[in-house]
Amino acid sequence: MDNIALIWHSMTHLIAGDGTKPSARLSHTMEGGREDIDEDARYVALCQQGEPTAFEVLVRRHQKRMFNIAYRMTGNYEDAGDVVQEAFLSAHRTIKRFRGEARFSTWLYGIVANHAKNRVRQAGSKAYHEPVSLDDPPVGVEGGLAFDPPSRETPAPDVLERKETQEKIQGCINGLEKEHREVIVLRDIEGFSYEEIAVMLSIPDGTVKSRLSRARNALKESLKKVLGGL
Amino acid sequence: MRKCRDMEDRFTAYLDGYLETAEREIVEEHLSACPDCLHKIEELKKTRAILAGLDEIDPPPGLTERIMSRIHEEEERKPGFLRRLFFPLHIKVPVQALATVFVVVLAVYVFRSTLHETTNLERPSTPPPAAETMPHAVKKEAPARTSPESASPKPVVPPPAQALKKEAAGPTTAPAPGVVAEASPPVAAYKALPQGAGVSEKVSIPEGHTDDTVSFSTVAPPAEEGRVKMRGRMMEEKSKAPESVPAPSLRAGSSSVRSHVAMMSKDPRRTAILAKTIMRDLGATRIEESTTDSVATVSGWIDTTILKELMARLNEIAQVDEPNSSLASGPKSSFIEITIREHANSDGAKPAGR
Repeated sequence: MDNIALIWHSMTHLIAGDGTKPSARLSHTMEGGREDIDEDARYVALCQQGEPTAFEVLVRRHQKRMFNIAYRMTGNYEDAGDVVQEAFLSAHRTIKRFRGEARFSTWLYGIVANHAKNRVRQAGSKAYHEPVSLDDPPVGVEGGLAFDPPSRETPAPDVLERKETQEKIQGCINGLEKEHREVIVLRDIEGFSYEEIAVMLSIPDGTVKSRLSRARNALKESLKKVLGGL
Repeated sequence: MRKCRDMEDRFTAYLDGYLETAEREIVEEHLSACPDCLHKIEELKKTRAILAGLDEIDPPPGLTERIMSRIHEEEERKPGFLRRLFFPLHIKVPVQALATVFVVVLAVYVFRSTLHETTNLERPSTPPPAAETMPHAVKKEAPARTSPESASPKPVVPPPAQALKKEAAGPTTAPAPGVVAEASPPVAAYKALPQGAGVSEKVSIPEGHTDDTVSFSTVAPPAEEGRVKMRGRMMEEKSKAPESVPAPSLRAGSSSVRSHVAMMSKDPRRTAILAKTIMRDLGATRIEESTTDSVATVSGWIDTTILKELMARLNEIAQVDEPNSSLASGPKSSFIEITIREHANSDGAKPAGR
């Protein structure tokens, strides 16, 4: 009975809108995080029972954060889309074996982080170690900019300046070693705890801390050069 | 300075709130006294703030649909042959690798054992070292037959190099005139004796040629086709005339040149006995005789210089088919093989006997 109600809930979610829970960063540490986790667990259980629409709900709930992790790690908008697709396909193949030892989100973001790291490795170091070109910004909706400017009208100078700064920062992230990049993205951009990062990347907590320390120092120096000081 | 480095190691955990209270107080105490470290930690705070302030990126529209479409495609597509064969990799690849190793080891084992058999089969093509002494080693025995006219094998020691057992076919030559009609030759299957083969029994020649030691086999396989079993391996060969088997030299240093005399007779068996007597008279050694349905073979070693005399005397007992005969020349001692075929027509048969 409970399952039927949940399936109905997922159907209405899919019909009514994009089914996306606001992907606020650090959501798991915010009020309502527990509710999200419980809801994830319910949809995961439905997936494992073979309910076809349940996985789509999970995709809608997590795709934006997945995409941001992938984008910050690869530094490429199109690659990020591919990585998210591959990560969800991989998750769908293995969700029946997910036993809930970790949170579903931790498990899922670990998958996307690993796919992104593989993509960076495959693409070779050169393209990814170069800062993002200002002449060739990430392409987003209908050929527009990936950074989703507030309107289609000519952006105000301060908006352009902000966009330019953000691209420079992403360029500095792209210049980090991939092991440093992933901890910076997961901790300082996405706000995961050391413990969660350790689970996602399958490394000890101490390694997370030491990598993060080196990554921050490297990024600090890089930002000082690119931005002309902090 | 060392204290500053120690402090720097703690800045990350300090900024993230992962330090215990006591440790946090130590760091704060140091920061209040060390402007350099204070400056560094301020920069790290700004770095963190910059990263946290990055805009969220909207995924491309339709991403969910693309993902779900691919998932549906994958669900509809049944696992392919390769996927079933190889996945999950961590289980199937090691199993397949083990299976491959097993097959390779098995193949090598089978090959090596077969190689051993093949070597045994090929050995007769080289002169067996014991061949020279074999005829002398064979002891004669009392006649085993009560009726010499019955279908029974003629005792024979084949040419030593003739290692493969073979069965004689029926008459292969056309009838020649002049052969006196006599009783049909006995039906028997003969085989050359590979050294050590113990399937033959030894008898003496019933006609009283006690100086020739011979052996023959009582095994009588089908006449049309021989089935030869040799050292555990079966091989088949079409039966053929005895003269078609080459006789390589027996000893190192002796001549490989051989003579061959083809003869026609109404009674090949009797003619063979006469030919053997002639050869013995002329000083031939290691004389051997084998007889089948219609073909008798006498072989031995003889001086090349007296081959002509031998031919003349053979002509007295039966017709010599000279076009099909060849005589050795050169070396003093050479191998000779006389093949006497049955002849249905008595026309032209030469008077037998001396």
